[in-house]
Amino acid sequence: MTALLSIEQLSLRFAGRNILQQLALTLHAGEVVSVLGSNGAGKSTLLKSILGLHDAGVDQSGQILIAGLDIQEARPQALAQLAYVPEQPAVYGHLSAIENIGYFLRLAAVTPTMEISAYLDMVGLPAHAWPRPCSEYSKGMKQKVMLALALAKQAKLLLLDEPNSGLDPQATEELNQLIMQCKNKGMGVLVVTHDVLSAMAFSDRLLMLANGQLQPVLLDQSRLTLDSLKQLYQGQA
Amino acid sequence: MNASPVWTIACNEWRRWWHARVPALLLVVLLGLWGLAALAAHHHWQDHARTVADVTQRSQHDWQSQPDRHPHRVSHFGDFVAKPLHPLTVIEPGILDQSGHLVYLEAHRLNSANFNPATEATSLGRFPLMTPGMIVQWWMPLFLIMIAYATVTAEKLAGTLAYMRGNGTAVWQIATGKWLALFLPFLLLLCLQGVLVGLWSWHSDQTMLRLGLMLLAQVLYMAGWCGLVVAVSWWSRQLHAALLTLLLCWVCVCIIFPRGLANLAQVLHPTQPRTEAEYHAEIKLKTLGDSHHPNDPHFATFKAQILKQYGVSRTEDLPVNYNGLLMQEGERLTTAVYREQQALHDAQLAKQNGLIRHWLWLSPALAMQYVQMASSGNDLAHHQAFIRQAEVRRYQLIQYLNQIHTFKVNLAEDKDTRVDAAFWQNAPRPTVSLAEIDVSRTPLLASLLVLLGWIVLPCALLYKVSKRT
Repeated sequence: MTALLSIEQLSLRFAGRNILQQLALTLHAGEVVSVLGSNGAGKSTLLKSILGLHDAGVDQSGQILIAGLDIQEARPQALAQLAYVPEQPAVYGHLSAIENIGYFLRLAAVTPTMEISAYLDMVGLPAHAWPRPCSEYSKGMKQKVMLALALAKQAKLLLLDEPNSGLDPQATEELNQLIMQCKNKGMGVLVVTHDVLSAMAFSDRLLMLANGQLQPVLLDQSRLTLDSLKQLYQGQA
Repeated sequence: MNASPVWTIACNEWRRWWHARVPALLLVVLLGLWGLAALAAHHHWQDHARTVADVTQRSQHDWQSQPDRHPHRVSHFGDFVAKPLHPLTVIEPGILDQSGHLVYLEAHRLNSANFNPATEATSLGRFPLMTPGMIVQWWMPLFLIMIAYATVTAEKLAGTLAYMRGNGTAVWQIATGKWLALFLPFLLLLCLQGVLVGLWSWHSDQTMLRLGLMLLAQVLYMAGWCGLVVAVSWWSRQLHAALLTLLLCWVCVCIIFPRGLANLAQVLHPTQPRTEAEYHAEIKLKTLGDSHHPNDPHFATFKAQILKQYGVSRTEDLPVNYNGLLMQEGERLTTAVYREQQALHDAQLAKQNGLIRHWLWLSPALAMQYVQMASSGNDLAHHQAFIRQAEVRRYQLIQYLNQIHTFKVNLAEDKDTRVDAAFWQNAPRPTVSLAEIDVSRTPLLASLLVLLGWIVLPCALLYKVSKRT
């Protein structure tokens, strides 16, 4: 089976510093992988590499395949296979949820198989909010708009950058359920997060990004303490 | 769902303007400003045109109504000639208010143009008249900056730029969509102006060519500004940085460089004030000869030549009026001296213009103004062409009158003779017409080249900065 995301020997150097070194990662359909790591470890940089969004001056090598398509050689086709939800949801404040999704779908030249409102319903955004401008939404509601967009885009791979950051426990729980929904629909999900508990709840695999490389992490939720988390982030787990 | 990404991005930008209210309001204010400028400029043009028509008609009437009189009196009666104004003056009056558009033609003098409101205005009136040309040159870029400085920076800060790129939208599609959103409203306004002026002045000579050139320059100018706004907005990481950088560009391009270049040109190649030029001309004339002085060497030689030519020993024995011959020779000498002074003045102006043209790439605003002035027939080249035509008319007319003096007035009864009025009524007074636009070929070509470069610059900048997310 072709991997939805295949990263081989990815190295990235910026401002004289090695951020990623010979990094490798494979992610299949219906799989949720969470990447943990301390601040500045290169988690968001890894997502930027997958999206091909690096500024000039970044020295990158290695290969990234999305659904078998090389991001460097077939960027538009490769990006059509994925949906990305940034830490700060990127929605236009002057547009409603429906208009935002419609706008980004038009840009991606995607025709949704259902009405946009059906996707919003699917992610649990209240119907009374749909026609209101997104400037009036909470962060959790904006996250839901972006997830609805990912579903409407019929993406095979979903990239989430710190999805739980700034969300209250209820919104976090709702988001975790949505991630599980995506997994159950057969999407591959790559999550970059600090929220170890949530990651343990929805992930098939946990990876720790340290010294530019990904290492598998095995955690037992019943024995998780603040000290054990500190040790984990310091690479002593 | 089939609209192209470029058009989709442009439409979203317009929605953002509408939602934010202020950009939409600024566009309405700009439209109102343009309307006011058009009305004021039209009123001003009508004043000019009325003055030209009145003076021309009165001058013609007064000239034709002269009774039988001595030809030398007629030569000092004088003749007014008006510079023909192209209807595009309503958009760009150029140097008209400074240079004047009426010249009084008389014997022994090369007068400059009169009726230049800029030098006759009161202190408040010395502020330049707001014209549609000025709106395009100064106000449109400034309003564009206020409306759109955040066009990409705001998307960067909101994360939507990175999202669009991560969603597969190409950089060129985003940049073109943004540029189109900024450019189309201004293009519409420029085309509307072009259509209105075209309909109003279609009957005039060379209107389509002149209007086409003006519109081309304005479109290139605003297209370049729109590109620069997108590039700077893309380059900036903060909203205030984008605004300040663009305002600095505007101040340099629209104010500092044009004023600085004009001042530098005047310092390096100064022109003489008119009174000083006249003083030098008088000095030169005195060295050439004085027809009233019996022992003046030049006129003594001239008299000897005439007497020899006609084979007589006294001027009283000549078959023609010697005073008329003296007038012709005197006019020839004064005209040569004044034309020499004019040529010196023109040469200094040419040097100034040459210097400005050399550095024109610093200010596309100046390049655009050059094209506007040349197209409306109100640049220096057109003014000099008008002065040359007026001078040809003056010299022909005065020498015609001197010839009548020579051949139709008896020397013995010189002061008491009256010549038939039909002679002035049929005097040669060649029509002064608006010069072909070809007289401004050099500044036009230089300016259009600069404006083409002005388009390329933002594209290159955009290519350089567009990798920033």
